[in-house]
Amino acid sequence: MQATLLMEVIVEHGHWAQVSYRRLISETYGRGGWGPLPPDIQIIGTINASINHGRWIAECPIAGCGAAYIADSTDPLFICYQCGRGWYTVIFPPQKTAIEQLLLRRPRVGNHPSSRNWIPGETVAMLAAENARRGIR
Amino acid sequence: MATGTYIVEVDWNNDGTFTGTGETVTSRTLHVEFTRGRDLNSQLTGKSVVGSLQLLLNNQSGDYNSYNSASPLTGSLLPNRLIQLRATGPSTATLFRGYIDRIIPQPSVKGLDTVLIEAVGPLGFVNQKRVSLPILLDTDTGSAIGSVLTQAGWPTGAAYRDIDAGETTMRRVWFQQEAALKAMQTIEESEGGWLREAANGRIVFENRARRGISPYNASTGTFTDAAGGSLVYTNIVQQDPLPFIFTELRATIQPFTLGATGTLWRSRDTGTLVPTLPASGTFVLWAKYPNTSAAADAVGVGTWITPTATTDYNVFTDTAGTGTNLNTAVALTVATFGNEMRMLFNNTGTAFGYITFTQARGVPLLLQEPVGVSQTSTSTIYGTRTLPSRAQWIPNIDEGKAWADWNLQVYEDPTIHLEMTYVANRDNSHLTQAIVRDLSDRITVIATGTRSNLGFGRDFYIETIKQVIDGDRTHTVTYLLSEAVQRSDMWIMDTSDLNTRCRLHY
Repeated sequence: MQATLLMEVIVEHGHWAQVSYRRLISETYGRGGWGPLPPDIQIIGTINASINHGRWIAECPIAGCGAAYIADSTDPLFICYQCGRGWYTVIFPPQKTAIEQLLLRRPRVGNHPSSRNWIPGETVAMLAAENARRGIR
Repeated sequence: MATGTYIVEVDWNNDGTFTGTGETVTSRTLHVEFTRGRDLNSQLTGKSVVGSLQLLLNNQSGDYNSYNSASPLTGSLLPNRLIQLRATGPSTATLFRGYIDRIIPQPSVKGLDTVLIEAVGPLGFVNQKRVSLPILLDTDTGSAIGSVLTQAGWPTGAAYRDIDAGETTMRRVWFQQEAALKAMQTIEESEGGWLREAANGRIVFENRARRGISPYNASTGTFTDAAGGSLVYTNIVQQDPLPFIFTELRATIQPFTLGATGTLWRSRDTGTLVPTLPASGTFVLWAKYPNTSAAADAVGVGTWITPTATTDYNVFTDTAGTGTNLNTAVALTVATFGNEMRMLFNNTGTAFGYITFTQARGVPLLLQEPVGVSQTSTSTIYGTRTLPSRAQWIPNIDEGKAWADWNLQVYEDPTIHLEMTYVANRDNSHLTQAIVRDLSDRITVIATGTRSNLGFGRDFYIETIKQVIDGDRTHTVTYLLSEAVQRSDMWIMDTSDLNTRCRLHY
């Protein structure tokens, strides 16, 4: 996969990586000592994607694991390279575009858009209200 | 490595000083960073957002846990406490002054307990309030900003405000329950100026001419990529110029006129539904306009007429209005706004009363036909890139046209926009720059050396500041910069030379 320029987007895997999401998972899973990727036909659960510092991430749901990938909405699956659990379906919110548009209005200085965050449960209205509180139009 | 001396303080007991117990938190500071300034480093389209500070403290003591009753700060761990970061060496200045927004304990069962304190700048503090203003007539933008700040409860005085008189006089301006910052942003747009936060916690309103005069027309430091330069940057990014180019500017002017004096509002309740006014009691009614009885082009009230007894209201001892009239025992206090009048009835007598009739009279403000003006570049290199003005209170066609003319001259061609970073610890000169430089300061950036090879050496204004200071006092500074010359080379009488500064400002 061709890496694209870092435009003002909420970053997904394809925006920055030199390799496909599936290949990255395969390599890191293998390096974690879990061998080849199992077939992705057995889904054991779902993970809600979230936004952290301007990136869509999928985080391992196992308590204390903490492993995460920058997620890919075109291949919304997750398997943990650290604890080996998976596959999970990564759920992106139905209001993904609206959420992204509101977060992209928040200014970025340097490489870390630290105010561009979203967690499942936060509504579009809540993000808009936060923007308004900070004077963001 | 040169290191600065910093002090971090929180006014936990809310007494306006930082001398109370536990109010100096410097020795517990693990990390502090702040950002202040525009959302985009354009003098045309970038506007201030609320500044923010993140402070990470060692919380091994548990002092910053709001449910820890053993904490010496119990009961004081609250939002809106004043917080500041200042430096005392090698130069002395406040770097950020604001108000706590959130206190988030971050316990670690096996590691170090910390607390994250998030704060906002003064615009964030003010923006907690909504403001209503009566319709102001022929008011300059600076005065209107002052009125909004006062309505929002922001203190007066030079320690809190630095407000230029506006270059623009707005024919009419008013707000109805508008967030304070949003209200001020509409005024800022109409001026073509800048509303911002200063490092020392003041709210600053720059009129559109400020950057043309001293000290903003002189560079305060030269940053270079040259080896051996006295001030050097470690990273520079020349931003894509396209989002900053506009080849067509459009403005809309909304004229108003006053209508005929008349009754603008009336309470329709009768019988048992009329408001009651017990002896020594009060009742508040809000007259609202425009309402369903108003003309379609009505938008507000130019002047409310203070209600008079009998003509505009009656208070009786019964709901039908046939008993004893209590008007003489009733005191009425009013407050007027653009779309509302607050009427406070106070029954000073001993009899139970009913407000059987209420109306509000005044002079309605009516919309006239809006007028659009535009200016378009003759150049076709960048295609049509249209910027509609967001200004709501441009007073007349001439000024709208002048706004379009001026900004087209500046923005129809590419201008340079930079993100520049330097490490303050390089030496005391860099530290001093990090400590004393503030928004709107003018600096020179040389990027002609082989390290960056960008091929320019020009002056820029600081539009956004981000600073990061770690526990070991490593200190990094990032500025978002906009090119200075386009804004500051306007013709100034008795100052400018012919054929060197010829842009006509408005």
